[in-house]
Amino acid sequence: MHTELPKILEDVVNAFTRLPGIGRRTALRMALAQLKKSREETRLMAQALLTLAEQVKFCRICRNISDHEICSICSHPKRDRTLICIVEDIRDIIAIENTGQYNGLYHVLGGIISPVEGISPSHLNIESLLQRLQDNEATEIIMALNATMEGDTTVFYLYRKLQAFNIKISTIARGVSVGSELENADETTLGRSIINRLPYENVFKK
Amino acid sequence: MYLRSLELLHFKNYPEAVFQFSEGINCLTGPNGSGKTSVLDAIHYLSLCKSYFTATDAQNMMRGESLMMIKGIFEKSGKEEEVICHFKAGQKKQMRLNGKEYSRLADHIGLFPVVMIAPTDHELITGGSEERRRFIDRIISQVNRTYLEQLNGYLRTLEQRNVLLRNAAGAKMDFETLEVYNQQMAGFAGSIYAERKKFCEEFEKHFIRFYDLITESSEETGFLYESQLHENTPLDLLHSSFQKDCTNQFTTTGIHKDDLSFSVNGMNVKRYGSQGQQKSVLIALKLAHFNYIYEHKCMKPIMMFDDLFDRLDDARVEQIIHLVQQQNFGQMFITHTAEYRLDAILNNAGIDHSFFRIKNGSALIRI
Repeated sequence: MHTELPKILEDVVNAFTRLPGIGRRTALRMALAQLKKSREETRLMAQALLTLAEQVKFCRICRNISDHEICSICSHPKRDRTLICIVEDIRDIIAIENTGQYNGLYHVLGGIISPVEGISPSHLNIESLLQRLQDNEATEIIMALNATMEGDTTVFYLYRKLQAFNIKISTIARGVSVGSELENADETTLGRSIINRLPYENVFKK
Repeated sequence: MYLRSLELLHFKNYPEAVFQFSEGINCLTGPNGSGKTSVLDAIHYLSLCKSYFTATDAQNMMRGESLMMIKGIFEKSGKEEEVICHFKAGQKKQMRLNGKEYSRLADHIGLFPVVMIAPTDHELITGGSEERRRFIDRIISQVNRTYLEQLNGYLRTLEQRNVLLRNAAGAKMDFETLEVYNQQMAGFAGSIYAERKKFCEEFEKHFIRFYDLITESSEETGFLYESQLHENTPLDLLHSSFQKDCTNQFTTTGIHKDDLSFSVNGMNVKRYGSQGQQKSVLIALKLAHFNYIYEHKCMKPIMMFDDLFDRLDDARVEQIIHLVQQQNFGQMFITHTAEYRLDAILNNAGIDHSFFRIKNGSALIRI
């Protein structure tokens, strides 16, 4: 697509292509689709974006994106305040909430350590976590980060930081996915499942 | 396991060709550029999904064509197995086993092992240490999948640590993060070192035995695994090189500096060995490779000698042929320009063999 676009269109296309996963072709399609909509609809959309940029709040406790000073999870009276689950961003919270298996609180790091991508520990919400542990009733920290090398690095970094606190540190289990056949599991995962096998009582008691 | 037939379509200089091979020794002869090595490379494709010599598949397609195909029928534990490699310009390469396409090429690797010896392998002896690490890494990971995972983990952590060191230049070093990488790398390095050491101890015995057989024990050879981890624990090593790493802005010590060194009569082969000695070391390494795979996977890889006579005198070639015969190696492919020379040696040794005369284009006759 080397043909020059009218500048007014070009600007919108350029703006869209800055979003993850959007190339020029898709951006143009989105821009043209938007043109077909009513002016009011576009105004509402632009307004939503502006509000996001200007009024976004991060929960004072867990740093999750929130409408209020304190998010709905942190302010919920029935939540178990002795458990804190460490996640990378809000997507992980949604995933864990959807399981319906967790009733504790969260702490959102906002990224994982990766010097190659220019992310160092100081860019993450680690200070606020340490502060939180000072005056909080938490007894266990659950690490729920991606099972990548960078995820492991971050877990390990936090583990060292948290040694100062008298707190239990656990990490989500890794293994063969439920309902799948062993022969289809990749060797790495299956190998780890064998090494980190569980006492059978743990499986059927749950 | 052996390759019974091979079919080529638009592969290098073959518009179309069919070969029926014997279970024993197959000799391919013909003038330079006739396409002897291409046959070996096609077999390599069927085993490892890629060329031994070139980096891109498109380079192996006949000029002016837009599609190539390599098809092989293997016989493995009494069963016939059909392997097809199919490549169309601009599309993804396909590998099929008995008609079923692989979703991951890695799943195919290791099912039909081959060991190739080519003149370009000389780099393994004379080149940088990276070549030799790759040589052992490839063999170990064929037998031990976790090893590859550990190695990839190590290399990624290494990359992160190096960026951290580079970013710290002129600024303040983040010691806490650095220590996390130290610990992680040390964990990977420890198990990689243990695997390499175990491998080298076993491999050394095979290597020395084969070198003795090739040279009829006229020379004494040595095989040494060099690693900074012989004297240090991985973590101590990283701690002690901290200042140096900061100055250089990269990680100066660790298993990514490991090397192998070979000697003949106490002299380092890379520096002082003659061309013939270097080649003999190379062949002993490859035969040891064969033996290692055979012992661990209970399968004889297909041996391929590209230009066996390269840098070797007739006596050594004869010795290698004898050796290969006595040690009961499986199927073998040998290429050479002069048919009479190869024929004489094989006849002298009383070894059954099939000949394929390769002419430019594709014409071939089986004798």
